[in-house]
Amino acid sequence: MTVTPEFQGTHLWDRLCWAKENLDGVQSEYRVVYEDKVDECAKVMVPDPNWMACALQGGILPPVWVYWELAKDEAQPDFKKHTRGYLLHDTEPVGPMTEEEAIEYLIQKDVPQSVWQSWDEGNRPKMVICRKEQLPATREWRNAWRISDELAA
Amino acid sequence: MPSFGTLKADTLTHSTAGSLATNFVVHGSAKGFVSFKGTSTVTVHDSQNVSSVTDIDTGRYRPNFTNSMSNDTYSPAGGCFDSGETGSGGHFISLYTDGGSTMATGSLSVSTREHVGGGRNDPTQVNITINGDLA
Repeated sequence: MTVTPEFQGTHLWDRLCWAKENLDGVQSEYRVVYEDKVDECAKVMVPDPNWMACALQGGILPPVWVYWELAKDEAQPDFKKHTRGYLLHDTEPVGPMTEEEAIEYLIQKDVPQSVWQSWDEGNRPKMVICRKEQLPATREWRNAWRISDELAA
Repeated sequence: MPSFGTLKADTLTHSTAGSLATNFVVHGSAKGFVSFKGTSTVTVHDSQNVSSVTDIDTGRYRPNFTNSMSNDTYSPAGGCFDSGETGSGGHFISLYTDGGSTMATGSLSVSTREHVGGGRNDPTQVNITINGDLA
């Protein structure tokens, strides 16, 4: 079993390079389907296999709140460049996750907060976690995909 | 257990070919790449510094970065490979505006368009490289 080095304080890029050299990618069968704008079709978030390997291994990725802090900085009107990038590198990395926990982390990182904070409010769900084979096999009418109303029942 | 030794040097010198300042290496190296299938169900083939790819709709994708970029003036480049599956005769990559911003420090929105006509379509393979400064 590959042991993760003590990475706190190591630049995140260097950790990702270590992971690339030492871990096999893990293709997740999970997909996250969400709708964030009423006039747009459903979006599908696909986990990256190298990232998933890092998540399952543990000790590599920063806690997800670090990304929220950086997003707050970037949302400032006078934002020019990140001045708190050290949060990515100096914050204690999170431990190993299950695949389901990794998907939950990824939702909170890469899906808009407006979606995952209130995904089940309203008349129908705004977000669904499904398996790859549950998506349409072809991309016919891809730009009209919606989360099925049947899920709200 | 791997080691993480640090070699500090401002210049690399080859025995015959000359010298190179190491800041060329630091600033000139790609800070991420991703290769993914754009047809059927999107699947990531290989990557560095990417946490996920969001399939937005036909010919629209958003790679999300693990190590954010320092600012939103980094330089992406990319290309597409089309096996002819979509019958469109080739694609090119362009940036597109997503909610008022084309590029964010944590992600990049791209669209893939047909060479002929310029309509959005899904290529067999999308390849993107990111150059710039990391956060």
